[in-house]
Amino acid sequence: MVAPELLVFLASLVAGGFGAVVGVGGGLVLVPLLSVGLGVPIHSAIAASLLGVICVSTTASASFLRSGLADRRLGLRLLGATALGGIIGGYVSGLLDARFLAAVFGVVLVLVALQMLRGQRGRMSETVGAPGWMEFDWSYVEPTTGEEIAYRARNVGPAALVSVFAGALSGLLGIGGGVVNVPTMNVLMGIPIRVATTTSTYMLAATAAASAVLYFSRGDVDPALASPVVVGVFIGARGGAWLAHRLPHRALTLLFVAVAAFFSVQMFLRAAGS
Amino acid sequence: MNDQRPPVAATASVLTLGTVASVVALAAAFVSGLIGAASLSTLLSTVGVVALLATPVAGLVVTFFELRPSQPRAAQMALVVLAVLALSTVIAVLTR
Repeated sequence: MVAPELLVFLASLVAGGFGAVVGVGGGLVLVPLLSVGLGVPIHSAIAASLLGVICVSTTASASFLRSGLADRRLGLRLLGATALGGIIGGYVSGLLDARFLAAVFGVVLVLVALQMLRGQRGRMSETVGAPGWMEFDWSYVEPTTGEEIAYRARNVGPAALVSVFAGALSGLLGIGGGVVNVPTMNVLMGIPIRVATTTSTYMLAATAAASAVLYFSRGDVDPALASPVVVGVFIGARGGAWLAHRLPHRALTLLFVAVAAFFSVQMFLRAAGS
Repeated sequence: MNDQRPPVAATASVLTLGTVASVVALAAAFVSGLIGAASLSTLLSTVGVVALLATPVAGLVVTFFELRPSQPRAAQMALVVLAVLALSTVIAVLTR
């Protein structure tokens, strides 16, 4: 008989690794794996997942800040909005029935899977003329080419509004807000995809902390669950980051879509009470 | 283009330290749980969770001091985020 903590650890290891390889974060896989696969109450699964999000974000952010890939000024402009959304999501989650949450999670899984199938579009704004009010110019050094790439952060106000929604989704479902933040920064603001991804990762820790505190105060953070989840996600994400450049990305994306489809059906079944 | 990049070393160090401290505490809690020391496991796990929750807050405080000389508006944004996190804690205490 395998100890339940060990099963949770293995599930978190797989979810963290898979999330890092595919680039969606571990929460989208971890929450259904814990709640559907291991029978953990969904509020506790979400709370544990948020702790995993914080851990992965703080670890990666230190590296992204040192390398100059994360735009801290941009992240801070949006972070107030995502953290506010995190509070809303974390608070509303406590009012919602587990079955309703499962249904919302199922819908989000389907949407993310569809977005993964479409692929990410690479957009970038030009730095012609002086930046307008709230806009600013910045640059980063692309690690693959060594080239300094300049960009302009546009539409900060509208992006902040969308960020509230990203934070709320994160707090509600225990996922990183990257599924909304990255396309917002890339498509709406014209931020290069690499900077959008790393800056989104930088923003996740404080966003998740804003909602995790609410789960903690409600008693949804189970100490017996928190330790194997955080340690498993931490190791899995590091392994996944190492594997990401060594595995066929397209095949893994299709595998993620299949896994997301399976879990979305399971979540809908749970919502229906079967 | 970015000749005057603000320093990041202190923030990066705080984030790394906080993560390592919390992961070590949580790993010890995990092992304690496996060997049956339930009360020690709960204590270490709670310490790890609190350290983990405090890490982004500590990172933002250090970010404020790092950015204040060269990017005062960004430093103010760090304060705004800290205020939002404080609001979250107040709501958590009031609704528990």
